[in-house]
Amino acid sequence: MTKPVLNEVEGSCPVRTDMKEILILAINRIGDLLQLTPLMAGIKGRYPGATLSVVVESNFAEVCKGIPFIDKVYAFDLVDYARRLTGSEYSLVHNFRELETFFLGINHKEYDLMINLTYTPFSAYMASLIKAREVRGVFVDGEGHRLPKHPWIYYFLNGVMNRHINPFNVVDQHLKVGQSQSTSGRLYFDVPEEDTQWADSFLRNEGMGPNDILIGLQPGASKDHKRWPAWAFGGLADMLRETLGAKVIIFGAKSEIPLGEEVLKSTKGNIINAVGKTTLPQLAALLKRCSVLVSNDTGTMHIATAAGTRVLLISLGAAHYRETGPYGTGHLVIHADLPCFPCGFSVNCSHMLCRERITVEQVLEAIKILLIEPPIELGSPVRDSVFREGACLMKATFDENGMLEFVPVYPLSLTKDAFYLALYRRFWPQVMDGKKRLDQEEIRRLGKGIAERVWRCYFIDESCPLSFEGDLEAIERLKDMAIAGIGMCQTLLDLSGQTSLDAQKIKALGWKLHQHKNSMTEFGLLHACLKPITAMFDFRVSHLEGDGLLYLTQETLNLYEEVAYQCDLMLGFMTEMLPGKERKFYINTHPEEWKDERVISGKGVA
Amino acid sequence: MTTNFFKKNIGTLSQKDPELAGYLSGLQVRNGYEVVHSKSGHPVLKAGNISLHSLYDPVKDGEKWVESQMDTIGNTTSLVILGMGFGYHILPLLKGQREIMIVEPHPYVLRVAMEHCDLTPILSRCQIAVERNLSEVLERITPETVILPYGPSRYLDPGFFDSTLGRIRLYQSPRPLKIMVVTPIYGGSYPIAQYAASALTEMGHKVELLDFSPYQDALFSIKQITPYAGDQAQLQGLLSNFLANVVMARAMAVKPDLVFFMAQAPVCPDLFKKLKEREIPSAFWFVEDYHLFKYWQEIAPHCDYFFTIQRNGFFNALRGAGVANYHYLPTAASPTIHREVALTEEERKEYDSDISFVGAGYNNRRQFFLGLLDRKFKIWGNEWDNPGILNRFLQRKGARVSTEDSVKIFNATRVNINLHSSTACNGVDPAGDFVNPRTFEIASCGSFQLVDNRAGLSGLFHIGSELITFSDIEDLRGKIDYFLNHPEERREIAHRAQKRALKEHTYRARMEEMLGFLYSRGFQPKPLPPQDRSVDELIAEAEVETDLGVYLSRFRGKDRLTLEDVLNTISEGEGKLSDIEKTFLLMREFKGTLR
Repeated sequence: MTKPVLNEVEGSCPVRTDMKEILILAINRIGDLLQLTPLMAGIKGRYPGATLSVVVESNFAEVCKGIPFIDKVYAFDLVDYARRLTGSEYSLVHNFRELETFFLGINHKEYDLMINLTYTPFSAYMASLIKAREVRGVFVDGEGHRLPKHPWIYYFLNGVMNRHINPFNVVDQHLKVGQSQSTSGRLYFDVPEEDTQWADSFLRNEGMGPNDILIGLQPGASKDHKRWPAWAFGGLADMLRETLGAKVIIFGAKSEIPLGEEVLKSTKGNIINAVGKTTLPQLAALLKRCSVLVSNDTGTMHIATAAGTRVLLISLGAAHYRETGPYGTGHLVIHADLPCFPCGFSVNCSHMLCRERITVEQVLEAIKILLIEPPIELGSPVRDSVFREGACLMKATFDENGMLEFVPVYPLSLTKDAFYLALYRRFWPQVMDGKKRLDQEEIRRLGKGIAERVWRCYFIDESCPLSFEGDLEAIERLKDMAIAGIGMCQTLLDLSGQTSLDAQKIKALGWKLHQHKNSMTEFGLLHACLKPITAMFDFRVSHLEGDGLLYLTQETLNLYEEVAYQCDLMLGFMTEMLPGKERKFYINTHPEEWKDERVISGKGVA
Repeated sequence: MTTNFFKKNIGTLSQKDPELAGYLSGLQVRNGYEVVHSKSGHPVLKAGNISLHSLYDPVKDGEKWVESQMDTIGNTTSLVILGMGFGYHILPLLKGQREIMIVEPHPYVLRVAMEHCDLTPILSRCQIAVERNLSEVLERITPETVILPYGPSRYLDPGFFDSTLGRIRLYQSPRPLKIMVVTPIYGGSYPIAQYAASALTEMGHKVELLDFSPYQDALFSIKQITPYAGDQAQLQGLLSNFLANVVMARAMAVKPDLVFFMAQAPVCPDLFKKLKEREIPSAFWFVEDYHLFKYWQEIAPHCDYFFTIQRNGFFNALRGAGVANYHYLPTAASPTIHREVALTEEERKEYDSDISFVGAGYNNRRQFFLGLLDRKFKIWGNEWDNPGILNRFLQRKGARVSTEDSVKIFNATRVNINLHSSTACNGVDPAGDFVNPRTFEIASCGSFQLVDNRAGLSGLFHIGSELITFSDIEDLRGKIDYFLNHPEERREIAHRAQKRALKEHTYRARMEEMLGFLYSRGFQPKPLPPQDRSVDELIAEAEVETDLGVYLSRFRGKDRLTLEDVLNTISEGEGKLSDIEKTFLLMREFKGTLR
């Protein structure tokens, strides 16, 4: 029985030398792999001298050469292996031995730390077959139960049901699991020199000159609901050429060639077509030459951020920019201003309004913002902008904890979601990073900071002021319930500790405690502001490891205590954020007028 | 001289196989065999224009033949030579230690050879078999045994030779076959598909029955959709096409060694083409009258093996259509179903009858049975709408009779009338050739029948002692009277017919013949894909002493082991999992990624 490992130190990540062999299991797509690179950087910084091995899909083994922190790559051809299992070419024993041999290769040494951040059932089993002293991420225990290891993994797995108020990018969540921090605020991929030369030659052949602005378009995406229409990309290409005189290049995989052709058909002029023509390093080299990439939520987008190119993400459907948007300061995101955004993962949308809401004009405007030097100030007035309605423009920046945050470029009307997003942004690191509990003064200081941050980017729509009275009452109520739970656990512990056990009484109290937990969970899940806390509590209670009544009761008591503290923390923050008697959110500053002094520049080609 | 050779030979054979020696001693040689002397002075057997050995120097010719076979023989320790003739081609092989088995399909040839040559070197050294004791040789055959068909012997009767060769190769097959049997949606051939599937299973093959009977409602509902025949036909065609695609999809999933289609099964030429592309052999059993049902023309040229219940004219038509691999395969009985049964008092009351007929109300039967109006007669079966005066005989108002009830009727009837259906005449079809399943079924039940004359009958039963036929209504009436009055004779004939049916006319025998034909035409199941290896083979591959070998040994006794079989024994969340179990679970998860 191992207790979840909590982050040890607030803010800083001191160097440790006790980890010599570290392995990251990363059998996933290219975008996911690149989103692990800050973690790899963080690990190398935290554990200097440690050897970092990765397990990746064989397709991306070559790409790993461009990731500077990887010492050893174990490549597994998942697609081929899965096909073999359904074919008749190889025997059961052969297939077994092949897998066994693969793991023997990995397990020739014992790892001090193994991190699995691939949230697939198979990766959990893979993790369970790798010998490591310490495991973080998802794995399968000795009996076949899929278990998460690490508070931020609990958070990740719960995030699915609380997406609307999850403030954290997946990269930062990965960093938390690795107990490290992003030092450069970006993804990593070193473009090999030969691919840079190839890209330059490719672009020269396509007529690109030294001062040309090159704008990249990535019209494809893994799922249809994530795609902005091909005709819109085509229209955008025309406007880019006509209004900015830019060269336009479209990217995509071989399977996206028909989509690329569709884009080409909907344009009036020439576009450089690189769809299906590049390897991943070549794609990275071309992206590096782009001043901006306009992309759906794709691996190409992550490659661009790694290559240091500004990205404009069109965030559609179930893809959520706050979770998987471009990592790094300055990138922009457009998303539809719709209550249904983002879709749930299981939603099969029949209208795709979010695609229609985002116009070519808005995307063009966002590109202009990305191109101007110096960049636009946050909080510029929206009234003359094409973003007055339909879509929102968000900009990536880093918060005071060094975690990525998307803030509105043009102030938005404050919603409860935005309010709690800001609150939870400060809240979760406090409760999950093993930090000492805050005193009232510290809570007040942090609460003020949160409020200031909100004030910069949001305004109150006077016609529908937000009232938090009900929420505050609910938090108080949840706290009471948590305290009641603590009392019940304590009674159970007292009973269990007695020399003559009253089994009947213990059973009755155990049942009562179980019912209390259910009522509390039900109550918390019914209140939007409490959902994240409650879901986390419920998740952790049902994933308690170990056995024995005393032990499990003590662990449950600890979890109730955590909820009580979390309620206190929320109440403390909210007291600072909602100072008046009416418990309403007031804005005390207004953004200044924004002056248009934009200079558009390109990177050209070497 | 002839007597001397025979005595000497039979003496030698008696020591090794007295039963065969006894059989050959009593064998009367048929006409048509002639013994001539070659230029070198050796006796040679001729049958018509065919001589079994060289007419110049059969000894040298035999040596040459052996030389030509040496590559095939290689270092084998066991040989089967099919076709003995006068043994010139066997003598050079007697040197050495290898086991030699000789199969002479025609016992008459062996008898003549024993009369004219000194075969003692062969008879003392080799195991000899004819058709009747072929099983003794078959039991000794291993996958390593080399089979040498002696070409000239084939010319005597290619069909019989091929069928014997096929049976030998079938036994040599190293493993049971995986056979997909495709049924029709409904109809008379539907139960035959089931019988065939059961027989193949009984033989030890893995059978995947693709049963289309659940589509019966869909097919029948088409008639409710539209009254227009053209539209009905189009919809039926679409359904049939869909089901043909089902066959292909299932074949892709099952990967059988053979797809065996029963008549009326949903097929299309494209299906056979696709099966060929996937190297899945197909066979079709056309248990239909080719004069009436012309759809064979769409099938026979495209499938790999085609089986018929008619010969002569049909064979000519098949050759004309460019079909090469066709074979006569009459229907049969299924002894576990078509058997003697004890009836309850109640059943006896219902089924007991002097004369009965079971079958559909074809016009020739309606006309013919008018001639029995003065008899106590029971007619069972459906499609007797508007039976007219025959209504008095019609049982259960013409409801469909189940197979089980048919068997009870056969058992409870003193004289079963078996009149083959015909649309060409008003009674007994003078040109009728094929034999219906009912003939075999009644025989297999040990029940007595009077059956209308069919050209194919005499090759299947001995007419007069095993089966009594009739040629017209007067003939039938006379025979009914006679046999009703001679119960003992009736019983003896029925008993002989039953014995013959159980020995030769079962679906198992048919399926053996069917597969034998396939093997004689070069059919070879593809080597088992590694995925289908037996547990023993898998354990050997894993090495018995290894952890995996030990783990897999719990599955001994299963002839095939899949990942799913292993997974079914692993319970997640119920006790500690070993790394081996986790690896198998991981394989499951990987497999799941393809869905």
